[in-house]
Amino acid sequence: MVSTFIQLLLSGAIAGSVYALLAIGLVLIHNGTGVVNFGFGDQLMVGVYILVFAQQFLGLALPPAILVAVIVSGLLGLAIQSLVMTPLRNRPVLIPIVATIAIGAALREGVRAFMGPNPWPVPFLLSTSPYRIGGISIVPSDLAILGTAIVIMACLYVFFEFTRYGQAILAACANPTGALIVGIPAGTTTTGIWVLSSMLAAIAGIVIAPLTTLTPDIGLIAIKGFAAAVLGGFASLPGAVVGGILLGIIEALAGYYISSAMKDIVSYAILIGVIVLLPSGLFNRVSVRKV
Amino acid sequence: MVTRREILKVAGGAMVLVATKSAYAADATGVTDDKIKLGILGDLTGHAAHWGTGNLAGGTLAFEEINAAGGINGRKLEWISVDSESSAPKGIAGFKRLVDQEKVFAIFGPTSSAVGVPLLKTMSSSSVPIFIPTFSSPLITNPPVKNIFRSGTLNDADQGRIIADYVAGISKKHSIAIMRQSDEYGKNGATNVSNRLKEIGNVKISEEQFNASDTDFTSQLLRIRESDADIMVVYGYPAPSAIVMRQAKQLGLPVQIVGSTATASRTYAATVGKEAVGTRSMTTTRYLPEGDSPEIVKFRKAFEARFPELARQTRPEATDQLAYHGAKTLIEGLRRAGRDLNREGLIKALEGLKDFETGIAEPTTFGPDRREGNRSGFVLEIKEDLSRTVLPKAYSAI
Amino acid sequence: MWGNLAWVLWLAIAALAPFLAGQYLLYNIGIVATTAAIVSGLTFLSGVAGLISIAQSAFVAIGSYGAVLLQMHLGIPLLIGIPVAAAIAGVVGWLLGFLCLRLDGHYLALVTLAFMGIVHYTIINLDITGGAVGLAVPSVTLFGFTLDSPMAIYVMAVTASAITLWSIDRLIHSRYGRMLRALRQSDIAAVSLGADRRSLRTMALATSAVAGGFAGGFQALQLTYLDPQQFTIVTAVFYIAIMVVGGMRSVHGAIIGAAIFVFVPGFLSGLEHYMAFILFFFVTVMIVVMPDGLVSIFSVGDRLSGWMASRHGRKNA
Repeated sequence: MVSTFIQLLLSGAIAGSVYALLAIGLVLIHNGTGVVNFGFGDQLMVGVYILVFAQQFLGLALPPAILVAVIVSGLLGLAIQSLVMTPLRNRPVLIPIVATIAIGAALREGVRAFMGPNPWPVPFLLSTSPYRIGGISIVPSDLAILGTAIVIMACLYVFFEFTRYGQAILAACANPTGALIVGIPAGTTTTGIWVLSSMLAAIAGIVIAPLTTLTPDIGLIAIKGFAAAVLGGFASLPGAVVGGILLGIIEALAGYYISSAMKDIVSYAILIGVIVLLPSGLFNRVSVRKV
Repeated sequence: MVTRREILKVAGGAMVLVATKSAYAADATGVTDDKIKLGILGDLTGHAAHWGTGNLAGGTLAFEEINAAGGINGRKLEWISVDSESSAPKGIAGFKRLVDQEKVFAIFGPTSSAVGVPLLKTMSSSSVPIFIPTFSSPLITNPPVKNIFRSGTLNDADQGRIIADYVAGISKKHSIAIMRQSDEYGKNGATNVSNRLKEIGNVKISEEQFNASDTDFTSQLLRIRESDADIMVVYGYPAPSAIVMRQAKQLGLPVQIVGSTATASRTYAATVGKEAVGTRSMTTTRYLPEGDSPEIVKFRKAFEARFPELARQTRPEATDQLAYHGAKTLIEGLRRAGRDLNREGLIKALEGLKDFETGIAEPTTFGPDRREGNRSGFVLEIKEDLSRTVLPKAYSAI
Repeated sequence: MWGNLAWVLWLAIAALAPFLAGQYLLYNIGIVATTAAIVSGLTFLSGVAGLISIAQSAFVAIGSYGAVLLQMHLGIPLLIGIPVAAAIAGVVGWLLGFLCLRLDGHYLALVTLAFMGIVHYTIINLDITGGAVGLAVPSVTLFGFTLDSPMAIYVMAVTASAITLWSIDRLIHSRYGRMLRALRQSDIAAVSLGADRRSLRTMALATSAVAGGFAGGFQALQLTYLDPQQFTIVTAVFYIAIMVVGGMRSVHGAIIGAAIFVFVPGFLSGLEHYMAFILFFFVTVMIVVMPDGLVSIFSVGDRLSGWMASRHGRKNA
């Protein structure tokens, strides 16, 4: 009845904010550098494993361990961008795509070999005990995910709209030559984007992994992030968040009111439907066609 | 006086005997004066790696131990490990490598249904003895194949039956919900459970499905909450099962949760969190790898000393335990086959095993028509402090 | 010149292998052949026409399952069923191309990715395809003989692969291929030269699908079993990696790439758990250092002679 519907909305929104966190990272890199990072999910996975390693083998408490995970993740992003993506920046778009896929696979298998293939427990940041309000269960640790997505989106919005560095990045994305003329080096903005999104990957992972159980394969969840990003138009960060939450809610409602077998098909169908039916004018960047 | 007739009878009998001796008869490929060569085929990388690495670790430990104790009938074991990469084509290539190129005497593995089931045709048309300690597809032993043996683990058909017997026994409302994964593992498991429940009769069954990669199960759990089920069987991989169990508690489902053997690992309860308390899982043996029975303690100490990098991953786990048990069983078969060792002899020796105990997993029984070593299961429960305890009653699928 | 030499080399290996190689090596060479043939379809689509596709294993699935189901349910012999299933794959590819007419780059990648996911999902959930368990591949029978010896399977697989590879090679060097290359570099210029963008695109996808389905059907004979795990996004990505590492522009790249991915893991097996990590690390390095693939080693000679010729004021013929 009503409480069931509201519960579905809430749970769908929570699941959707998982997708939203993934989508934010993907959209950030795509809009900032023109590349879709198919290894983003695996970077997320590595971030969480770094946290686990810092806690269990370096003996750090939770807060410094989180800091270590985020920083090391950022450094990894820096390495990827400077060693792999920069040399490939003028190549046909297929090649950077394959490179990100290969990097993702390398991270996945490397972690599987080093930390073992078995699941690893990760501590929740907030409580998992539900509050019952009017027949609806609200779980703090779940809300943390939703909260994190919104906070990150807000921070990024402020960063891009109101700081000089953020504005510089936007300028460089829209018009690299023009940006160069006014003194904004394209290289540093690309680096900045990669470091930023890699740190985001770690933060997203730390919030999501306790929910989903940490294994080397959780990076594969990123496919939902793609669907969310596409749904939101791949054009803007708020769009990514809205797209993600919408996707989660649609899945939850379809799963209950139609059938549980439908849930997976939903994201694939949306992906295809949105891409195919929307006019190609939805691209954020104006690409100059060379003749 | 010996008549010509009698001579002819004896000669005829001897000829028949010679003629019907199988292709295995004197096949001692891989056996030399002082060595027996084994092949270990398992998924060391890819998504099924936790089974394959256990297979390799447990097997290695047992093989090294027997070598240190002087070997088997004057021969030491040597082995070569091949990675089937969680992929059927690589598994087939790996099998061919072990058999055609490395010429091993017998194979320990494969370790997952994804590799083992596609390999069935190839394995059964070869004469290499195959000993499987871990994966649980029933297709491998039913119908029984002459050269394929399995020990320790509980096959999925038997497991479904046992789960059904167990839950039918404890359900007060006679209404069972099955929450199953959408793939072969979940589908087959759920079918086995519901078929047996229908046999038992007087039970209402409802079924929901989920994908292994899902992160939210509210839709399905709400539907189960609305039914009058008082038991929820969860049949899926550890990661989604953990979320299911946690969310079920958070949504206040009034059910006793029973998971498949996939949820019987040492770290499972910790990955669920405190919501795991009171949940139960099927398990293939009464011995927990963290338990304190003497053989288990000995095994665990030896394992942790030999594999410190695995020990820090909270192992030995069930897969290491089952592999060690399987290896010791295979070693017993090699021992009983005697000094005059060939493939037929090994198969005959294995067939003769009855209630062979290792103290690590359930005893193994084979026979001329039986290739499934263990057909019993137990139920374990998660206690208040998230530790595990095995309930005393044994459940048999026979 | 190098190209012709390469053909001679491949044919020599294929012909001599049954006499010189053990069973295991023979099997692997056969797998290299069919994998290369599958990837060559992708080479045509992505390397030449510049269209990203993460759906190649979907077409392999249609070819393999199609052929097996045609035999199991309609009694159509496999050797006929495989080309028929490949044709069906071609039609599906054509339709997919039609669906994606206006898409490029990442959007095209995502749609083909979603298509792959749907095909995989369908295979797992239909009873007729054996669901998640899969199907055993029946043996090929011809005039009453059952052709299931390793030698017979090798001959069939290599022959089919040779046909596929040669056909794709011819297509790449045909007028059709030239138009696709022009299309890749610039839509507008190509159209101004008379190319019909719509039909070229759909035909490119259909061609890659037929190659994938045809070669895939024969690879199914080698694998003796159809397991849905073989037809996933991961395998599609695997084909892309082969294409990129070997070289995107020619079928020789597909052959070299396939050889690497089939044989190198065997050499690395001593490293056990880390083998997969090292392989992908190697792939990443390869992509950065040699974006045109390993096969570009051979064009060094051409480029060198072209450079020398231009230095001396002569045009390179």
